[in-house]
Amino acid sequence: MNLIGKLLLLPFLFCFELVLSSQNTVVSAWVDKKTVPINESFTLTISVTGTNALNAKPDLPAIFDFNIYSSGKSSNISVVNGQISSTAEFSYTLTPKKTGKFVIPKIGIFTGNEKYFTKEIEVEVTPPSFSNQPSQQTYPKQPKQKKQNISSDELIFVKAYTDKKSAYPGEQITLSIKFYTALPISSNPQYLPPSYSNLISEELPPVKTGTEVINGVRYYYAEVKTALFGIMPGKASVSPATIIAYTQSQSEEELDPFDPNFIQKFFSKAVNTKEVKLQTKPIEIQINPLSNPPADFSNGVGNFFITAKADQNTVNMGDAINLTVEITGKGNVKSINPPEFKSENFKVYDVLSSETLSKNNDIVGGTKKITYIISPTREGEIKIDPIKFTFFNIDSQKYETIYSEPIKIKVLKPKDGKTYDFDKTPIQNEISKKDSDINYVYEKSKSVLIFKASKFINEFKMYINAVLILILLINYFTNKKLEIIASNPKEYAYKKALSNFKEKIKTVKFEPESKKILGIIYDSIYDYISAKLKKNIGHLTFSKLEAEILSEKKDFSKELLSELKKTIEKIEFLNYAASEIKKEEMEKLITETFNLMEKIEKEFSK
Amino acid sequence: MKKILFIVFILLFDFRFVFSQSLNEAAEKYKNGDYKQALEIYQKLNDGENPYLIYNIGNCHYKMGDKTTALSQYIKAFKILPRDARIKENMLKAAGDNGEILFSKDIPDFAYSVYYFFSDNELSALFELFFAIFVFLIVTNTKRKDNSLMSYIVISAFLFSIFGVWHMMRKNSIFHNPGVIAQETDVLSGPKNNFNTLATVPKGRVVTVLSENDDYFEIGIPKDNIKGWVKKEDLIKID
Repeated sequence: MNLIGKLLLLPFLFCFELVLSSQNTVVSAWVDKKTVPINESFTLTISVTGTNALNAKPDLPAIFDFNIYSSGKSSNISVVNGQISSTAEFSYTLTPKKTGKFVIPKIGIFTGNEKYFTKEIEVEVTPPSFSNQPSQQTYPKQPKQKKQNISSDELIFVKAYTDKKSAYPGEQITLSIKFYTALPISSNPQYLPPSYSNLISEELPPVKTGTEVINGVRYYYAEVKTALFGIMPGKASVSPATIIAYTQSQSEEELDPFDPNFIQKFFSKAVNTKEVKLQTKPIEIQINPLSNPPADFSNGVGNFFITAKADQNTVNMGDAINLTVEITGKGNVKSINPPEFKSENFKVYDVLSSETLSKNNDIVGGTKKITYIISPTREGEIKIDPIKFTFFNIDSQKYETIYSEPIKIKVLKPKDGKTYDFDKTPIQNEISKKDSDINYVYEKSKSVLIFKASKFINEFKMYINAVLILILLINYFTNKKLEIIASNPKEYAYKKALSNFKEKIKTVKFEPESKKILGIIYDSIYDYISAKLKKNIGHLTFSKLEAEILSEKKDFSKELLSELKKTIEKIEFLNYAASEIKKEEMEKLITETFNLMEKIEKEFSK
Repeated sequence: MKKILFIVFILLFDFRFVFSQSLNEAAEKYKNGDYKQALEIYQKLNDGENPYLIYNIGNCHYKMGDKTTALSQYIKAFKILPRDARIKENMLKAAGDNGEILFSKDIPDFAYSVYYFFSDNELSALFELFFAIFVFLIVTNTKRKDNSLMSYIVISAFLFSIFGVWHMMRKNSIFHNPGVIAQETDVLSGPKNNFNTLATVPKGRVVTVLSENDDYFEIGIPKDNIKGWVKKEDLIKID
């Protein structure tokens, strides 16, 4: 992708983040009436503008002086020239419980990152105004006799009911909790709402009040309505709601609650009150499954229409267009999934959504606003195709698909002749490296044998090398020697004749039998002479032996030959003698032979 | 005999168990930021030959802010186990923090990884190993008299030559007889105060220790072409 093109688009793509981060969060709260009669209600509005406004969530503190009901939330995002502003408003209906000056405490709003607080608001609750109260003629005074015949339980009670016992997921079910009293009460009752299972709730303020005659008894009533939406097919339930009221003691002078001056009279005197705690019965609702939802079902259940508009119809290549799609109608718009925007001519960079709830005539509805930030991928006259939206029409009990009008966009050449390359890879925020740290310690022990072994070898390497070189040298010289022997064995035998003789003679020490010793000496003499004559003379007779020696060395000493003859004859004599040879005699013979051979060696060396 | 073997086995097992327990304790202290306590345990366990413990000791010093001692420990660990990524990375980071560049950016990291794959001791041991194999093959071949082992002899000769040359080359490395300057110090032309100051070396610089006498180390910094003497207390010698 062209880097310059990307860079040009980036400011817009990141402007959402940048603008929001630079924008200060502003939190404010106000009431529509600073002074309110006890028999009326007023509206508290909390507004959050700025960073993370859409994520804001008020954390209402315990407000004991008022009953408080959520009457809706509206949020809005607007994108103008790349400037994004977001606002969320939370509305609550408050009904006072008693007269006097009261303070709505600071309300905390958590935006996901930080917590902000509203200012305290002072509200004065005055005695009731009767401009809107029914006239005395319409509701005649309660006949005292009739009331005395009815038990106190029947004079004050609460009931809960729903407008339907079964519904589809997402279809509105209206829950009414109605409090009746024919007894004077010291203040507006306290309402503890029920909890819900498999249901989403939306309160439907304001509290409706009035009178109703049941079995001839005229009751004052207050009605709280709540819109419920089933989540999953199956059973859903509403747990009991609780009403806590304070009635005047029977012993006191009776006050007629329908007396136009009842509350003025009531609050003008000190009374003994009695707490009455009332509970509704639990309610069960069957949530039926929607049959065969289409693949593109938006999760919307109700009756809606769709519109779409672009913030500009002529743009340059690379510019962003805010395509705003609004889905309006009755039904829980919060649960609607934004329709998918698909087009080869546009690339979608972001999708922002907000909703505004309305509760007119106790029916929940509103507008889901989806803003697609798109950019054209080619020049010329191009069309934004109709946006498709499929929902379950609660009126016709059928799935319905509706379309927005197509929008024509004229795309001009990019400013300054820049080109753009749109690939399919979503742009990701780059990782920003903040800091670096050293690697963590080794927590487990590891083998260090190889390090120790190599260190050990290194410490003794001089000795190891010396031994190895010595082995090499020995091998070399041994090999050389063997080569010499192999090249002239007779010459080698000639040189080694005496040492070989001595080696052989040394072995006789270990021989126990004298005859064998004589044999060894005899053979050694002949081997020696054979080596010296460089021929195998075997066991020749001495005369032949003498001839061989003289033929090899003519000037050989006659004395030595004579001595050699005597020694050989002596050995032969002893060998054939019957008796065993004495040790001393044998040692003498060996010594003599030894000395003789050394003399002969010298003679040969001459 | 069996009893002796059993006792030896038990003692070894007990030693490993105690070692492992102490290591866990030190790791826990380190994790909780108690680096001083962790350091004490690591130092007790350290026999000077375990690169992982030396590395951990370096980490403790680093975390306590003593990056010079940390660097000396990392270099010590690196000399024993140069192919460990953690040791290498921490050493380079500590060196960087001390203003020292150990590996030139002009040379690819891969080249350093190959060059420092084996430690000096390992290179020496490998040389000895292949030299011994070479000698064994020579002797065997001489006895056989048929030259059938000649190819193996050539391979072993090649390998021991490679490791020998490699080991010799490493003597020029910055990690051969290294030392770390513990505090900024003067490099003198001789081993006494009255000699000229040749240079001033900042803390944390890695130098080569050439020789020593009672009070001074003779050091060299080849890349800056400096050679001279520094006081012993100003340098951490890495054995």
